[in-house]
Amino acid sequence: MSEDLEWVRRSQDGDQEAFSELVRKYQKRVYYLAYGMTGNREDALDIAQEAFLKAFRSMKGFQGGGGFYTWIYRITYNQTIDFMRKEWRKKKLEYQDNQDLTEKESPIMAVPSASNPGQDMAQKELNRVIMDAVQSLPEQHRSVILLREIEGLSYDEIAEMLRIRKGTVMSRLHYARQELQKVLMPYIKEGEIREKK
Amino acid sequence: MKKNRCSKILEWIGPYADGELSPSRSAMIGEHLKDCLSCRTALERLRQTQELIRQGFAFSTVEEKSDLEALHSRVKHGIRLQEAESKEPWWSGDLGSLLFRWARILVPSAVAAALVAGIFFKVYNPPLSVIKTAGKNECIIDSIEGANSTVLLFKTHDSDMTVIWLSVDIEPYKDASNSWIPYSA
Repeated sequence: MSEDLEWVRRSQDGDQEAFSELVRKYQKRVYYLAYGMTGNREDALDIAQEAFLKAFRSMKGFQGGGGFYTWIYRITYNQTIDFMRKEWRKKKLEYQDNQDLTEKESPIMAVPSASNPGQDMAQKELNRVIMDAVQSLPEQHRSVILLREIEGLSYDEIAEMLRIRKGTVMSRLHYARQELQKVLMPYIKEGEIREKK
Repeated sequence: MKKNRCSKILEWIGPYADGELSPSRSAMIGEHLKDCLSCRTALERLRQTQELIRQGFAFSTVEEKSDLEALHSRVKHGIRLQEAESKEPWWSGDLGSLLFRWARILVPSAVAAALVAGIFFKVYNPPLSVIKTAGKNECIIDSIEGANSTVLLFKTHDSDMTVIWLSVDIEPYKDASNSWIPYSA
């Protein structure tokens, strides 16, 4: 975290290399957040890029309280919401109309396993179900589930980032998990649960 | 009684799985789970759901690497562009183009207004003797009309400042032989 502060300070003095270090450190998490919210790799790249550029432009005004990662997540989140409000419906329609095309360009990739193409297909199908389930959640619940499950943020960090109360984080997370569990129930292995007595 | 207890436990099962509970509450739930199959089942379902969500977002290593490399170079490129734009002269940037856009409207408007005013005074030639008796804080406007020129006097009530505007009629005159004589001051 102290290296963040140093990079932030140098970035504020216009050091592009220092900012580049911040990008390198947080780009994966920023990208995954944007991808999780939009479900599209290219859109996620655009959003993540714009989030970092916006951060660079606003660097001088950044006070440092709460940490750079909370700040860049918030910028990314707001950027994503703006993007989705403008584009999401259109993208969704295109997605539904061009399922074959989307299949070829699917951002949801299983870990390659050349020895078992059948298993790859099944994994790919499962990934699609999961992605669709996440995408079908209301925006507020989707963001909380992504920040928790994919980004691994604590409840306090999520509350700070989204500027909501910790209790609200808990209730949104509870609701989102219940909704996802309903969809994913066919993939949950009940036998394994019973054996774990 | 057990059902009530289970419903309370299930409310905390998510924070329990996430390690967000106080040690005492966490220990209490742990104790309950030892003896309660249905709550244990709920916890295991939750953990499998979490695992499935993470799987759903798993990229192949190759794609993740290529996307992140692309992102990094796009950000660097974008920063270089931003920096270059900020070093350009102000008139080539947003402010310059804004002023240019306004100038395209304002300059013709000002010219048109001047023409309309000129035509109005030329055609109607309004009398420029005392137009108005000024009250406090207003201008006193007076005029003296000569053969070739008009002098206007502006005098504010609170100060002694006087502005004189000489309006010259440049139309040439004819002499006794009916020849045009150019105006000379």
